[in-house]
Formats: sequence, structure tokens, C-alpha cells
Amino acid sequence: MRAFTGKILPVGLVLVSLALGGCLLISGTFVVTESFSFDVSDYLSFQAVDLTENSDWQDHKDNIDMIDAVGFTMTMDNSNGSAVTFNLYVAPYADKQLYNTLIDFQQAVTDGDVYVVIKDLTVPAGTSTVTYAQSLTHLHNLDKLKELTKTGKLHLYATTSLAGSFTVDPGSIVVTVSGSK
Amino acid sequence: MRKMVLLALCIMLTAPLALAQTPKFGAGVFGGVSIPVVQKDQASGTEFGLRLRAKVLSFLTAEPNLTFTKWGKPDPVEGITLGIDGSKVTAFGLDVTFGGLPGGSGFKPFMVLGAASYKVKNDATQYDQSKLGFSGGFGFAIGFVPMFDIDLRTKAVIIPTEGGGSKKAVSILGGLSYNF
Repeated sequence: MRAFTGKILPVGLVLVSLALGGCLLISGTFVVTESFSFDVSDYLSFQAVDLTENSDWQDHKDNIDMIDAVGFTMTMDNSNGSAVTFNLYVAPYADKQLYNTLIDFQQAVTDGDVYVVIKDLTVPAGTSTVTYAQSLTHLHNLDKLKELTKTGKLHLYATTSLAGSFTVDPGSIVVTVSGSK
Repeated sequence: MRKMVLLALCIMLTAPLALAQTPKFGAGVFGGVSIPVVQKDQASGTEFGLRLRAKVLSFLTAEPNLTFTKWGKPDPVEGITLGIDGSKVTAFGLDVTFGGLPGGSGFKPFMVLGAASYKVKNDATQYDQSKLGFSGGFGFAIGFVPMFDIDLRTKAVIIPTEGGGSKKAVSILGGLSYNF
């Protein structure tokens, strides 16, 4: 017992503290969220997302080690009276919206400049929600989504199969980040 | 083939001698809690596993081990319920303890250092990483009779991730070992 309290306990506590304390200061896993909204009344809608203003992101912006996970939450209001097929896309950040018409946008998708991340989601008439956990089961092009998310800024585009009142409000992108400081 | 037979004969001849002396080997189970450190996407969970023990030196024991950890569901983040299970961590590796030798009776304090291959997996987020990680801590064993030890240990676990970061946790574990 004397050996434990005299040597092993203090040395062990110091070792554990150093191991955890040292690394605690330099790395961890954080969850960053950023809100967005869409009004997809004419088939196509656009939103720029900027994660870099988030305090956790700013703390680690120079040492984002990897994006562990990306998901979305969305409250959708479909006033079309019938189900709508919804798609969500991601594109590299630019100073302005690059694709303003559905034709230009579809060409960008064909050219591989824009990537679908939620594909052919059937949204019933009325208000419905997509939880973070549900969104994970619909994700496509996850590696590309993570790659673009790691830049901190990205463009989101939403399309619907019907022209009419369809909103996503609120929506959030939820990003799990391994970062250092 | 001849080597195999000789080896088997050696084991058969020496086993009774080993049994007659203080136990040098052990096998046991352990379980407890794993507390993620600076991981906002995880919560405390359970940990359990199996270990073998071999007295290598008069003060040092080697412990090959297999460990299963299941972290808990994360708390809501900025009002958003993530609603997914925590990650699963499977590790196999080797710990060495300084002190706490198998067999004997009484209070046996020890320090422990370890290395293991850690696989961190989350089915919901598709996170799946395998890396060599490290652990260190301390504990004590209590031998009531030479054949059995119970032990309690705590150790810090550090699992490197891509890009230079790491996932960290503190494990608090109780164990029961059979010595032979």
C-alpha cells in the first residue's frame, strides 16, 4: 500500500494527466453547425454556407485534421398539394451563385462541377422534417462532401420536381471535425 | 514435425514444475466505463475485454488483450439532437504492467503502459479508421488466494487520427484473473 500511495499513484496520475492534458490542448473532436434555408419555388434554389465564423471552427481553422461526419437537419414545407422529389447538391465555394438557371445547373451536374448529396428524397405534402440521423442514410458523394466541407465554405443547391411553394426552413449542416489547436 | 514433438514434450515435462511454483501466467476478463475526452460527438460508454497475463521479469507482466468499447449517444449540439449511437472501438494489443504480478496474495499496485491496434467505427456516419494507439495508467490488484486476482485500473487511451489529431478517452476498469 505504501508503494502505491508513495510512488505509483502520484507517478501514474502525472502520466495520465500529461497524456490527456497535453493532447487535450492540441486536439479534439468538435461538432459545428450552420443554418441555411431554401425557397425552391422555381425548381432551383441556392445558399452559400460559411462555417468559418463558428467559434470552434475558428479555434482550429489552421489545423482541421479531418472531417469525421457531415449531415443535415431540415424542416420542409411542401405546399404543392402532392409529394415532391427533393435533391440537395454541394459545390465548391465561389464569390457568387454560379448557376442561375436549371439548364446551367444541370449542365454543371453533368460536368461534375456540382455533386448531389441527398438524392431523390420524396417529401410529402405539408410539413415534414429530416433529422440528422435520417439524413445520414440518404447521403451520396460523402467523400466529396467532406472534402468541400473541410474548406469551411461551400455552396448548396436544392432542386424540386415541381414548381411551387416549397421551403426548407430551418435547415442546418452538422459537421463533426477532428481538429487541433 | 520433430520440433513440434520436442516442444510438446518440453511443455508436458515442465508444466507440472510450473504449476508447483508461484503462478506465472494468468487469464482474465475485465469491464468498466470508457469516458471520451474532448469528443463532442460521443458520450461515456461501456468497455469490456479479455486478457492473458505472463510474468516476463520479476517486476514486469505482459498482457495481450482484446477490448471492445461502445461509446454512448452524444448530447444535443446547439439544440440539434444527433440521434445516432456512439462509435464502437475494437482494439487488440499488448499492455505491460510494472508490478501487480500474477499470483501471490495481498495488495499489488502497478503502472501500465500499452499499445494496440484500435479500430474506431460508426455505422451511422460511416466513420471507419484503424490506427496504432497508446495507453498508460495505473491501478492495483488484490490477491486473496494465489489462483485469483482482482484488479482495478484507470488508463488514458490515445488513438491517433488522420492529419495529426487524436481521439482520447479514460478507461476505468475492474478485472478478474485466474492465475496458473
